[in-house]
Amino acid sequence: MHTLVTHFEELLKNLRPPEERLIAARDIPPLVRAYLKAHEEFPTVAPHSHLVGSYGQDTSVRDVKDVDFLVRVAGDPAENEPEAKRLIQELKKVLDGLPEALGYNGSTNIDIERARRSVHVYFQDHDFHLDVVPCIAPNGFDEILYVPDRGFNRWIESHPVGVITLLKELNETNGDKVRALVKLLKHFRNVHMITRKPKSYWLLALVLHHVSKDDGLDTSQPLAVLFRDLLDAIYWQYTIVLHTSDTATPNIPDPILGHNVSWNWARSHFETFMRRIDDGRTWAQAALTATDRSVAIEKWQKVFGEEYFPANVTEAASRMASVGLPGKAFTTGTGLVVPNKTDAGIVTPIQRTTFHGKNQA
Amino acid sequence: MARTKPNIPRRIRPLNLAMQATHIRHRFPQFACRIQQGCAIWRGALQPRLTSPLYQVEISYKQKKLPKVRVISPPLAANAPHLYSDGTLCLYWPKEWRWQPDTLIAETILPWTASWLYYYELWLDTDQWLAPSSHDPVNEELICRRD
Repeated sequence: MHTLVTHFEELLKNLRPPEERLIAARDIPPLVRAYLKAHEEFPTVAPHSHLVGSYGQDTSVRDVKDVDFLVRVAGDPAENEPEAKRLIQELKKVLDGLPEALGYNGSTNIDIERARRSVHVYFQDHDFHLDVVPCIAPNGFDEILYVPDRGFNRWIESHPVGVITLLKELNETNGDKVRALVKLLKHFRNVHMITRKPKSYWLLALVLHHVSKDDGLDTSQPLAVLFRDLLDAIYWQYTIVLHTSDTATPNIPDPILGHNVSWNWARSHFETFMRRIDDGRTWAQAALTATDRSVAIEKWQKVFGEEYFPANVTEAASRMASVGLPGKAFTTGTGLVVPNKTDAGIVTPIQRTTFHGKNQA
Repeated sequence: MARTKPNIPRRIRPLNLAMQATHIRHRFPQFACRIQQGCAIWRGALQPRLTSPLYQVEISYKQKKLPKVRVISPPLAANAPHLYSDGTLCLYWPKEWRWQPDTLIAETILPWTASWLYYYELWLDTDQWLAPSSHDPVNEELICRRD
């Protein structure tokens, strides 16, 4: 079996969003926080804002332009106080001056017409959006909070930071593979579902479900095997819905609150999703059973796209070899070979050595 | 009058199994130890890269003997390089470095095992052993000259 560990590592590198956007996602929210704090006509409550969404989860892939973050305001959600509709208008009014205040050129479009619970700020020069979601967080961001519903008529429960925390915990207890799985599934969707895309949050919920459930995915496997197993698990989870009804769609439960997050999944879109998942798991299985490495690579390229899944990793392997050299590199307590000392617990220098034994290379 | 100490070579003070176990537990806490008839056996998992499988590894060590390291699972490729004929890993070149009983497994054998796995995976993907090897032409030439 060719597990192509180096190829998958390179694939993940190829899925990283452009550096400029990562920097913007890191740098702009604090500036927005300071901007809002300075505008007394829109009072916010400490700690004022929190990065959420795919950048907050560190699961963004490629060209994700939306940077989501929460802005905390005072209020009583049960009494619809402040009135969600009025508040979102006030937030929009304040954010109108944001691009100019941050020194960005180009036009700005603030959009509250879309099916979002946010004020949408577009930075033309940087080709990315801020989705600013107002929230009432009676017990801070780490607990259940309240965001406007779709029509901005009332405040409804949400727990985005709980999802981030759950993902972080599952990732740490599963060899750092859960975030990678989410990224691979999102990228698979982007490659094979140009339209009729299932939402990123649904995919995240599916991964968290299959990792955390009893008899869930075996995360001790290499990423290649794990991804095949994930597609298999999703396929078998929903095949009964596909074959026993002409109209039903699955209910994907929210990972924290448990409500159905895929309530608006159209049947035709669900059918497309299942066809693509079936294709993906078939190709992945063929890749894992191929005896020839080039055949395995070709199959994975069908899954993830030729431009993302590398055919040749000679250069990448030499680079990895030089940063992992005994005498220079370190190992963490879990055996991860790293080029530098990290903050993550105890690391041990790998002393210089020359490997010996029979030579079959 | 100060007495001069005779110039006696330093005596190696062997580390006992309990001391080895303490250091391994400190640096690689997921390794569990059992001792059978004077032989310590540590079992645990190592994952050299984020995309790697978890390798179940066994280290056995009896004082006055050499530590031996074996990968329990997943099975290694049949033609994997840098293994001894009994399937244990060749982590160092005895012409260059020798095991001493005062050496810590946690600071040598275990980090080298992680390193071996790291380069084994690169070998799987490229057919080339990209770490220092006693079979490199430079090293082989050195041996010929020494011999």
